Parts: sequence; structure tokens; C-alpha cells
Amino acid sequence: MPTSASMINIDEELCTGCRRCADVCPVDAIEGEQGKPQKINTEKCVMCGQCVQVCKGYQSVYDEVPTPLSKRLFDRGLLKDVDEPLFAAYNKGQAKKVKEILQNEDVFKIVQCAPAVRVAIGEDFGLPLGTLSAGKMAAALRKLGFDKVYDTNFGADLTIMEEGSELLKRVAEGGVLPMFTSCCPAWVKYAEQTYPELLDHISSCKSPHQMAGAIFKTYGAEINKVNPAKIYNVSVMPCTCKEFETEREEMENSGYRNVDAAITTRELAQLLKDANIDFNTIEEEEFDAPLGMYTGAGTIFGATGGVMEAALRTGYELYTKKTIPSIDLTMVRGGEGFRTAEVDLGDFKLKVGVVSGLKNVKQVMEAVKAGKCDLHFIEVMTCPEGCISGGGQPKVILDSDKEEAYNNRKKGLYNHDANLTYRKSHENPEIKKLYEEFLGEPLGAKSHELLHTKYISRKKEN
Amino acid sequence: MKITIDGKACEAEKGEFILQIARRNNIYIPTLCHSDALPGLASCRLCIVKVIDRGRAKIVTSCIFPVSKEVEVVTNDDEIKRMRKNIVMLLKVRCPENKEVDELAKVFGVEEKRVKRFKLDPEENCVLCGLCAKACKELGTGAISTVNRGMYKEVATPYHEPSPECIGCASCANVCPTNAIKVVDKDGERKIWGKKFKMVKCDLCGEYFATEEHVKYAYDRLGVEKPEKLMCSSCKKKVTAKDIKSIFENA
Amino acid sequence: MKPEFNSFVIADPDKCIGCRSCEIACAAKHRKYNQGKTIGTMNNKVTPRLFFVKNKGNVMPVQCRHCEDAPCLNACPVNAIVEKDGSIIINESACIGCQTCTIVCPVGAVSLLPRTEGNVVTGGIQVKVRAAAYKCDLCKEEGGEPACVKECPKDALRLVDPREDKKDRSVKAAMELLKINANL
Repeated sequence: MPTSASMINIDEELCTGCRRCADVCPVDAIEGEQGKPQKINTEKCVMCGQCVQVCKGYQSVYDEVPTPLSKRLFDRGLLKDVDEPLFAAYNKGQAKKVKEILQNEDVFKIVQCAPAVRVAIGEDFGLPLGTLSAGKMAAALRKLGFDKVYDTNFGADLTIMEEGSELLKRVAEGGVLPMFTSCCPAWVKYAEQTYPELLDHISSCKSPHQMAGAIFKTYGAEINKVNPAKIYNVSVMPCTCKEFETEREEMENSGYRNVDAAITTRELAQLLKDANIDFNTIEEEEFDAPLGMYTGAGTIFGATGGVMEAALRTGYELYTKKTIPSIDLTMVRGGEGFRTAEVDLGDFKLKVGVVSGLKNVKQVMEAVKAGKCDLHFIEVMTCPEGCISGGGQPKVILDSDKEEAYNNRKKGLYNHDANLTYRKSHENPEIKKLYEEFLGEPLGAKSHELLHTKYISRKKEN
Repeated sequence: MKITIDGKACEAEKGEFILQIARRNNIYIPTLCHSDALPGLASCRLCIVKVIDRGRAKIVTSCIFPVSKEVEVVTNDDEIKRMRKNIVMLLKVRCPENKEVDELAKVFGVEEKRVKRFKLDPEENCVLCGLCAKACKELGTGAISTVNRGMYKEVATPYHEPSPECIGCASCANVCPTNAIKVVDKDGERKIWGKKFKMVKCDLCGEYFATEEHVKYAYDRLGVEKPEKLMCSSCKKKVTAKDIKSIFENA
Repeated sequence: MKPEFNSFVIADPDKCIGCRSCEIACAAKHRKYNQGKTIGTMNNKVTPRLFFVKNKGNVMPVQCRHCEDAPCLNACPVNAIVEKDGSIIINESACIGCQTCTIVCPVGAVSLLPRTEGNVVTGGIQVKVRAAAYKCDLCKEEGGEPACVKECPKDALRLVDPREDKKDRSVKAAMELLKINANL
């Protein structure tokens, strides 16, 4: 049963009614008078968490609030020793559940982190904004007690294989176009509740961490010689909507949930502090092979335009059977808004679009509805600069630092990409091996079963 | 000049205390009786460190040891750990039921059996650090001080009687590291050090916020008459906000 | 004798929306040993030096006016409050928390808030949290523009320099006179 109803909340006792949350909400889900406590309309809310990132209505030491601190921590699902300021807008987390699981010796615990996590987790330990700390992150997760430290970037490479193939198939066979990406669960929920008639435009691919989770409990179970019933998958995400996504009915195979619990970057920092792991001094370690091996293409998923760039690096080469002239596709990089580009595939020009900031998708959807959109492939990210600006990322204290934070996080990802051995998803040797030994072909029967999903209309019929 | 603390080179001014230098460099040294506002007591001995100067080591309290040459300081080797553990054990023997001392004992790993050897007083919370007496002295009131010697030493008012000097400001309770001083505020009356005080009511909200003696002390220091209407800090803020709003409206 | 008018920060009650960004910015800027830029690096004892007030139909922060002949400075028994370049500053590490200053402040600009001495690193022990007096210090020690003024999303806070303000008004008045004169 999805517990999405209580995922993002506004604490009445702390809310001053300033409505800065309403200003950033892309779906106008926050209702209330100026100066009075606000309420979230959970049917409209897509759980992007931007309100959580902007809220400054904190529990001060000199205001008398009826609810004691310990109860407030409990209600928010926070570990009891969390010593951070608490704000009115908050997301309910799964940190306690994960802490419990970590203490369970019988369970085979697998963890994966989204690309955006590795350029932000250090910030909650005092490291400069946007510091790339992938090695430290892997070491810390291992120290925390996870049995395997795999990675969502591997899942991202897998997503490119499936989604790239799906796009080329739709283009070749006259399938439904434009095709939209499906990795942003807040965007998917928005589409389901606002444009259910256009749902067949969205790629049928699951998001990277769901794909990875499905593989962990099948192929992963085989290679680790573990009973899939004993595997517990944890995802660390920059996103407050991922827990909603993991609880979707469709995200399971053979009775096992693809991902068992999703926590945010901030919650991971809290778990590490709770376990007295000093992130600053921990030595770097590698991710576990084979499902923790990733390419630069998988890494850039965290920035707006990254999914598009990764898809094009592979799509170009699969279609033209030639090497892409420039691997850095700067024309799809950028900031909030809606931008388009054209990619010359030889005998045909692929028209692509990138939306960042959910408010900007409406114009595109209206154009598609009116049959006036001639793009083939569109990436949609709810959060302003892509996942690095997600609702679950370390909350920047001063608004004047936000731009620097987002820019540095993006730079961190692109730098990581530039320094990796493999930069195109289809060249990832472990991905190739996965297909050879287990999946067969992209869009094949096994892929269809494990790695693809469907959507439902959430529109209220009035 | 530079001194080394736990292998880390730290900038230091001549005459600076080791504790200050350590804190500035994120090096942790436990303290109990140290207060930045009332420094120099050095009664608890918890902040001891080893200073190595020309090959000879000595144990000093870092809160009052001034650096005059480029020495090496060790804050946490086995010998110091053992000494600190003993100090905390003795503190626990004195105050077996005190929450703050208990936390220290837990962190330093003091064994229960070493504490239980002695006759324990579960009511005792004071570690005789002297911070309260010093604070009261700084205020100019000097209502409490340490009296008697040896095992009879304690902090008290003269002859254990309600002190005419005490203004009921409770600064002593604020600086006490073990919460040993009892301040009871009830129904507009404060009881502290065996003296009863009438408290002043806020003209706006009716909350009691200070003793009459404390208010008199405050305005005496300014050399002015105390105002007719007294407000608590929260109400003063509210009135200020209202005033600013009306100024802006009439501008 | 030339009177010196001290600068101070004041909020415009018509622009303030009560978001409390100013308090968070103030507390964050004044952290002594901690330069972390995210909420995860702060502890929950947030100690701002300006204070959010909620009246009916009026929300705004209230802060120190840096009075000439400041009552708080004169009343402090341990001389923890000093004047530096026309600003009244509380030396927080010298404060014993007696609250004499909070009693005499006419504006309510001083508040007693928790104070942790030094910084507690991993494995350290949190000493009993004591209280000390806090009030606006115009970010004099930290330097730069006052954090609250910089961070306010509605530009409701401004640093007032009374002499410059007076000069501006005098210039404006003179210009008005010029216009009137021209029309005669």
C-alpha cells in the first residue's frame, strides 16, 4: 500500500504561512492563506521536495511549540539522535527502517546510490559544495554494513540500452512519438494525473534504480549465490519521490519488490553520523563488481540534459554504426527551462528536447496534445537543474549559495564522466556481459519482464 | 610561534592557553569546570594534557597553561586516558546520581565496581568547581562562596542563611556544569539558596520574568529609576514590532 | 560636540513575509568553527541575533538598535558588552547569562539562548548547554554585508546609516526647494 499520502508534509506548528513553498511548487499543490499554516494537496503533490528545500520556518529555541522535540523526530521518521534544525516542510523518511535492516544478519543487504548523491553527500560533512566523493561514499556504505555496494549508475547504463533501443524502434516502426523519459517519478505522477491520455508517449522503461534492483534480485542473486527472498535492496536517492516510486505496484518481479527502501542523500548522512563514521577521514574504496561498474554516461544522469546526452552517445552509435564525433554533447547541457537540439544521424535528423523544472513541461504537453510537437525524444526532469537539485539533497543554508551548489554539483558529475574509462553505456563491459549471459537482447522477453513497466491514470473524473 | 598538538602544528601567540589553541584547531579536550566567561579555575583537572619540553614530559591543566615556547602537546595518550578515567571515577564517587557526571563516566569507561567501593551520597550534585561562586563575585553581589575545608567544603551563603546580597538572578545555576543549583519558580515566587523572591510580572502578558531585586540591581547599575511598566523580553519585541509598523504606516 | 549616530538594521514590516530566512542566515554566519554550507552541518540549537515576532497582521524580525549610550552596555556587570566602531557588541564568550541586559533593553533586542563552548567533534562529549545573551552585532566580526540583509528574499531588511540617510533627506529637500523656487 503506497504511503505516499504522508510523504511530504507541512508541520502546522512551525509554518509561518510565508508561502515561499507555494512559489516553488511546480504543481500548485500548496494551499492556504498568507500568514496561516499551509497544507499540501496530496492528490496534486508530486513529492518533488522543492518545498522542503526552500522552507526556512524552523523550530527555534525561544518559541514555545506544544510538540516536544523527541515526538517531532519520531513523527518525521528521523533517527532519535539527529541534531539538525527542523523545518515546517519535511519529508517522511525510511532511515529508521534501513538502520534496523542493517542490524539484521540474516538479510543480504545491497545498496545503490544515484549519480547525484556522490557529488553532494560530502556537503553534509563540511566538504565544499559539489565535492565528488564516490570512493568515500562506497567505503562509508561498506562500513555501514551493506553486503554489496552496487550502483545506480550501472542501472542508468542499462536504462540507456533499453530506452535507446526503444526510441530507435519507435522511430523505425512509426511508434508513438515524441517519446518521453520515465526516470523521474514526480514527472510520471504528474503525467498520470494531468495528461493520462498521453501516457503511451512515456518510455516503458523503469527508472535506473528500479532496473538495477530487479537485476540485483535475479542475476545478482545468481552470481552471489543468494536466495532472492533474502535480498534487501536499498536505494540512496537525491529525490523525495523515489520512495513513492518503489512502492508502486508494478515495481516488483516474482513477488519480490525491485527496491525495498529508498532513502535520501540527507538520510544517508544521518545514518553515517549515527554510526560514528567519519566521512572526512575515511579512505576511498571501489564499488563492488560487476553490478557497481559504470560509465560516464550513467554518471551524468544526475544533471539536466544528462539522460539525453547519455542516450545520444549510445543511440548515435547504435543507429549509424559509427563513432560519435564529439562525446561531449554540450548543446543539451544547461539550466532550468526547455531547450531543443538536433542531432544529425546521417540519413535523418533526430530532434530532441530537454525540460527541466516541471512547470516548463506544460507547454510541451499542450503542443503534443495539439499534434504540434515534432520532437522525437524529450527528457523531463521535475527539479530545476535535474537530480542534483533534488528534494532529498543536502539543503543549502543560504539561498545565495544555491546557484554555486548546483553548478558545482553538475561540474562534479561532468568531471567524473570525463575521467572514467568508459563513457558510453553500450561500451560498459559488465552491461555487455549482463546481456550475453542473462538478458539476451534489449527489449527482449527477459528485459520486458524485468525492466519495463506500465502507467495508470490518476486523473479524477469529475 | 608554532606548537604541536597531537602531531598537528598549530599557530599560537605567546601566553595563550593550550585549551584555546586546541579548540581553535578542532582538537577536542574534555573540560568540566572551564567557562570562557569565568576562566582560570582549573579545579576539575579534566583538561590535563602532557607537555613535552626538551625531552621532559609534565602533566598540566590545558585551561591555564600558557605557552611560552615551541612545545609538543599530547592530549590523549594512554597515560592521560588513565588519569582522566580516575578523575571521572572520583567525580562519580562524589556525585553518583548526577546526569552530567554519569555521561562523562560512560564515555571514559569508568567501572561501577570501582565506584561502589565507597560510601555514596545519592543527593550530591556539586563537584565544587567554584564556577557559581566566581560568577556571583563577578556580578558584584558575592552572595555565595566556598565555605569550610576538606571533606566539609561546600558552596553556600554566609552561615547558610538567606543572603541579603543575593538578587535571585540564577546566574550561578546557569554556569553550573552539573545542574546542582536548585531554582524553583512557582506562582510568582522564586526560591534559590534558601531565599524567597517576589517576581516581577510582565505588564502585557502577565508572565513572571525576573525577581524584583534583580530589576532593582539592573536599574541601579544604570543610575536611573526603574520604569513604571515592566515588560518581559517577548512582549518588548512585540511592542517594538508594532511601533515600527505604525512608524512605517505614518511615514 | 558632534553626535555620532550608530548604524543598525531594520525590517520593513510591509515587505516582510515572515519566512525566517534572516534568522537562519544569521545563525549560520555566526558559527565559529564550522563553515559547512548545508543544514546537515548545523545543530538544532540555532542561535540567531535577530528575532522573529508574530503580531496580528504584522510579522517581522526585531533586532538591536545599537543605541548611543546603550543601556545594555552600561548594565552588564562583567563588561561583556563593548562598543566597537559605533556598534554595540556582546562578547559571547564573556557572558555569564545573568540577563541584566535583557531586563534593561528597551526594545527587547537581547535574548538568552543556548551556548555551546568550543566545538564538539565526533566522540567528544557535549557539556551541559549554558545560556548566554545574543543580539545583533551587524556581522562586524564576521565581516561583509549583514547576512540577514543579504539573504532576505523580499529585500525587507536594510542597513541604516543615520548620517547618510539624513544627508539624503537633506539633499532631497533642497532639490524640492529648487523646484519651488524655479516656479516662482
